[in-house]
Amino acid sequence: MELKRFMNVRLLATFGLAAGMITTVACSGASEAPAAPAPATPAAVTAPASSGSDSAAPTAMPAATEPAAMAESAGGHVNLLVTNIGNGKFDPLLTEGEDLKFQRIFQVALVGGAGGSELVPAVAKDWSVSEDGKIWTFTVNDGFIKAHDGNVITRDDVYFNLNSRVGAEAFELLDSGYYEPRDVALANLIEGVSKGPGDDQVQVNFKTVRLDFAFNWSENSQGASPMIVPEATMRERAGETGFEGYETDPVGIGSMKVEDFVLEQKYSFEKFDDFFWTTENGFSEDRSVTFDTLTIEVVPEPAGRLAALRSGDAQLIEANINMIGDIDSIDGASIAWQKESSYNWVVYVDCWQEELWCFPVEARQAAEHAINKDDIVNGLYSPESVNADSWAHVTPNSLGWGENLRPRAFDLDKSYELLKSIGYGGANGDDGTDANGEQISFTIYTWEAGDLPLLPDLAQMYKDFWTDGLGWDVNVSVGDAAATRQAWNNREYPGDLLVRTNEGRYDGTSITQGGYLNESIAWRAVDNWQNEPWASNTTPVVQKGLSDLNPDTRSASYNAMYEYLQDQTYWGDGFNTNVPWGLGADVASYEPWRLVPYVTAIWTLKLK
Amino acid sequence: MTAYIIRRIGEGLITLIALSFVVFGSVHLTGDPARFLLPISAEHDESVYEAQKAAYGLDKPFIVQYWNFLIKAVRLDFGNSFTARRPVQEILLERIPATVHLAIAGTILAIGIGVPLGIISAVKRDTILDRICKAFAIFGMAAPQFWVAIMLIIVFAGYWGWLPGYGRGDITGWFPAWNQIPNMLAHLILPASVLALAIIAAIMRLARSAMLEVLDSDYVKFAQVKGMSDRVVIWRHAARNALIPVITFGGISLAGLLNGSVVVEVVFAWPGVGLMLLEGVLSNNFPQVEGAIMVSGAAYILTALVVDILYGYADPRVRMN
Amino acid sequence: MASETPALVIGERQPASLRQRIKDARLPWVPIVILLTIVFCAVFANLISPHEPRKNNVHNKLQAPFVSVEHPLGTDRLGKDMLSRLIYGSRTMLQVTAPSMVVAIIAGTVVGLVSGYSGRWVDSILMRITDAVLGFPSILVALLIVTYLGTGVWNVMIAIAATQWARFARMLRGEVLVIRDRDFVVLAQIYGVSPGMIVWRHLFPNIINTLMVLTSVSIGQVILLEASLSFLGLGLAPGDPAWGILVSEGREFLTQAWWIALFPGLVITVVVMAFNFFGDWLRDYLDPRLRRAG
Repeated sequence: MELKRFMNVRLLATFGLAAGMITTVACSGASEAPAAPAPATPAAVTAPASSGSDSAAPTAMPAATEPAAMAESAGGHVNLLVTNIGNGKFDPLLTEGEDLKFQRIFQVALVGGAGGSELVPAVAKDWSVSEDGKIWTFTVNDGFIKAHDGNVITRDDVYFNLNSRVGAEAFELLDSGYYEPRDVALANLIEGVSKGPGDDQVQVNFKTVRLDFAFNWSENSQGASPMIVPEATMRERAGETGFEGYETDPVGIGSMKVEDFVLEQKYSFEKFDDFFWTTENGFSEDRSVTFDTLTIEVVPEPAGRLAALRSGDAQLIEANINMIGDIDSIDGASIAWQKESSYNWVVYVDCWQEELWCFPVEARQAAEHAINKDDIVNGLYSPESVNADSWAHVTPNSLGWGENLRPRAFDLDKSYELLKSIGYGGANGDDGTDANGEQISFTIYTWEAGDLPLLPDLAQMYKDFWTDGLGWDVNVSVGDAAATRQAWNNREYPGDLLVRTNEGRYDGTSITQGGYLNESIAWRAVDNWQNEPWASNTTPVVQKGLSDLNPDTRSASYNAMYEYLQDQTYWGDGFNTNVPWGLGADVASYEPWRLVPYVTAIWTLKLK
Repeated sequence: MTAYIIRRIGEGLITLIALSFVVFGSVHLTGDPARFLLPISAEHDESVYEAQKAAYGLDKPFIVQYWNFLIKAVRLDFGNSFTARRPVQEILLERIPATVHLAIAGTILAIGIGVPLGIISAVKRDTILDRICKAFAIFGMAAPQFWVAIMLIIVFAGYWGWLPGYGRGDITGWFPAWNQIPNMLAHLILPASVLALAIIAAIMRLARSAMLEVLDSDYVKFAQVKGMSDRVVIWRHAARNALIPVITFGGISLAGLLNGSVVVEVVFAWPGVGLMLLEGVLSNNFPQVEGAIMVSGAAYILTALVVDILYGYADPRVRMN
Repeated sequence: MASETPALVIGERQPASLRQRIKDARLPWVPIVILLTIVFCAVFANLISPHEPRKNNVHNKLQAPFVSVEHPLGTDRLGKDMLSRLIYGSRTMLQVTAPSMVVAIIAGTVVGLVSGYSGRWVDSILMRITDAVLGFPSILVALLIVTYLGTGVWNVMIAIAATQWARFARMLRGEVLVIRDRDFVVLAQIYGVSPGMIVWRHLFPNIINTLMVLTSVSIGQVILLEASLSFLGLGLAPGDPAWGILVSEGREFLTQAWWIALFPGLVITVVVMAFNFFGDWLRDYLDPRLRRAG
């Protein structure tokens, strides 16, 4: 062997050099950032206390200072394990969806929520929209909401938050390079933000009708942008282009304050004693947490999270319906269901094109009647984990839902009848042909999603129902989520189906608007689109439905609109999923909110 | 010799440039990140899309983008992560220590287990013990890492709760404080074992054949003739010499481990370069993918370079070619 | 490790009856039987598997193994028969590894021969490319391909071929470097034999043994690579009967249904072990010097 030719010293040198080289490559970056202290003593580095810190420096990640002391805290510690945590940003506008896993722990939105439909006072004690649906007025709970750094929230702070995220200052921050164009998409739709008319009021003036803004800026919404931070706090943390300092020293007004973090991996929080949301301050409930400290950490591997729950290392884990059996098998562990947190969205793609098999509405309706929802709910999933009472995004607790939106019954005879009425399926309606006698053939595109497990298997079941029941030739294609979405965007799936997941929502205005009023959106379902898009039958119904500004009748108008859209079946009947959270043996209870697929209502978590 | 080293370094540089082109080119073939980055409400807004594209310089011709990438990559600057919005360099500096720790721990563990097994197997050649050692090593090489990792987690972290099954503990960066070391080691054991398992077989085999050869050599025979006890002969004289090729191999496999730990890092939520790479890949985060691959590729190429130079030092024939 | 010993030339061996030669070879029967079983399962998967591997039967899910004759190895979360999925998994494995290995071997051999024999700048360029590929994590290659072409058997195959050829090229080039300085090659050059002929007639036959050993050792690694890619969700589509995917599906059921993750993991291990044992035997058999060394 050649290896034997080596002398002792040279061999050891190889080993040393190999390790040394790697280390050199790894370290050489440090010398490139002059502002950065050498990362040699990470344990001693603490977060820079104030403004002007260079975000390029490795110190942006304050190292774990005294984790041991923190974990020993007497009033209870919650270790929360999640599948992902998004981009790790603290600035509310810069965070992406998954970040809400920790945003809601240390921050509070402009408008409060209670899970689902209800909006409750929080930083704003009142909100209203003008008669033309364009001007929103928020009245601020002025003068007693304290932030973790002692600053107090006033009307001017709320103005600052709105103005810097959707108003004029947002564009300044875009020009300076702090924001990117994608961040100001909503700001593009806004005329301006102004103080007044009252001393404690702020107004947002939209260019077009915008009825869901209060919802969008509430805790019930999906985004992080409604979180309120004192202006002084942000200004103190101003950097070269924007509020860079906030990322190293985040401050909120929530029930816990940020204690320590390793970006994108692990965040530790500590109870904030001056939290404003208490019954003494006139709120109907006390939203202070009942434990002292909380750590949230990313563990993508389900077996890892289950093991931590079993060993008592974790108190709360993000789970999915496959894992409930394993959680049940742990002594003392329990499950908390987060209801309607996502829904399955079945899209009959581009069926407004006349040459496609799915052009006649009867064909799409026949497809829906051929699906046995009971089998899906009880067999594929379980009754506690899914609820088959919804149509597309309209789930039982969302705006505009009604009994009339329940899925169509499983009835093959009805399917055959519908198919025969348009000349499909031969003499009995069941031979799988279209009006020209050609075999109906299409593909169901789907992907594996974390929040709604078993999507590929669901697609497989659809396929089985349609193949066995209607004689259609159906393929299932399971792909990468991003690539599939892109192909769908590029109109590569006409006449096919897309079975995907989406986050649950209370107010489906924007998704309906996008789907039925905008011809450039891939998920649009506008009939007669190619010829005269605005002369279609669907468009006026949707325009009418969405234009109801009266809070008392809005739900009924939406319901009527949805009923019509369900009948049109560009989007199929669906169901919503309830997401399970695994609670460790030392957790007494936890009641996450419905319709929001993130960590919510952390104050309801009670330790034994 | 100097000429050889210079030539070999030049070749290494060319390899790096080739790697950079392959990485940059293929990453950019995968799709348009500007589109993925838009919020759903602005997905159809072409003006936002164009502006977003321009903000990342993605509107420029490919070759210009590549040039910009290359001159910045020389300074280990890979731009800002699309999602985390901070320099990839900064993320790399946080992640590299984790990967290096894991790779070193894996190598040490593999040598620590593989060498004794190899020696036992050589000394007790053709006995049942030899076969058991061999079987264990071959099992380790054949068992899929992800499967072993899951099984270890469920048993050691779940049922028994002895060891943590995820993360790196409280340590960040290169050097733990003294009081952090137990915590750090506890977190290292499971992932390092899984990494080690795959190379124990090779190390054991190497140790075994080296040991056999040494046992056959004159000085060992001489020592035996001198009447020294078997134990002293084996452990003091033979084993020491047999260790040499093993350690070399350990050094080489260290570079392989730096690259090959993606699966282990993902399953153990180990915040290293492999996990960073997969996260980047799944979110179309070009700069993050480019940074992670360029750094691990560079580490590999540099190690290969050093090994080649040393080979050239030892074997003039190679140098002449 | 590459051996410096030239391959045995067939004519040197003592003529012996076939039976005697098999006896002398001390064939590793257990690995051979395992490998033949796997190949048999793969080829006749549709005939021998009791159920359709993709067919859900939600009324019969998570059935334990060794209980019913209908599902001897139990069922998964959707009532799919585990035994059938494992049998079809061997077909998937063979479909993925065999063609991709053939491509990798051909490409690697050509590069290795050309690089080793030509030397100079050709060698330099080819080896730099080889090094670049070796430094490129296969997982990324796979993802690029998956994003570009979509999921499916083909793309994993391309990913495997694209990464594996480099190992062959590197190894064989080393072998060629040694052989090309041997007398018979030098003599052939002096007699003016064309380079193509030298490579084909003199070099190639002498690296066949190394090639065979390398192949049998690599297959195990390729199976593991394919399984890892599937496990990470970068390979075959979820729901496909592939061993890596079965393990990935089973990890959420480790307590309630241990068999979903355990069986496929064991099967992968056993098959890879069989390939490795076979590779070891092949190396010993083709290179008696190593056998003596133990």
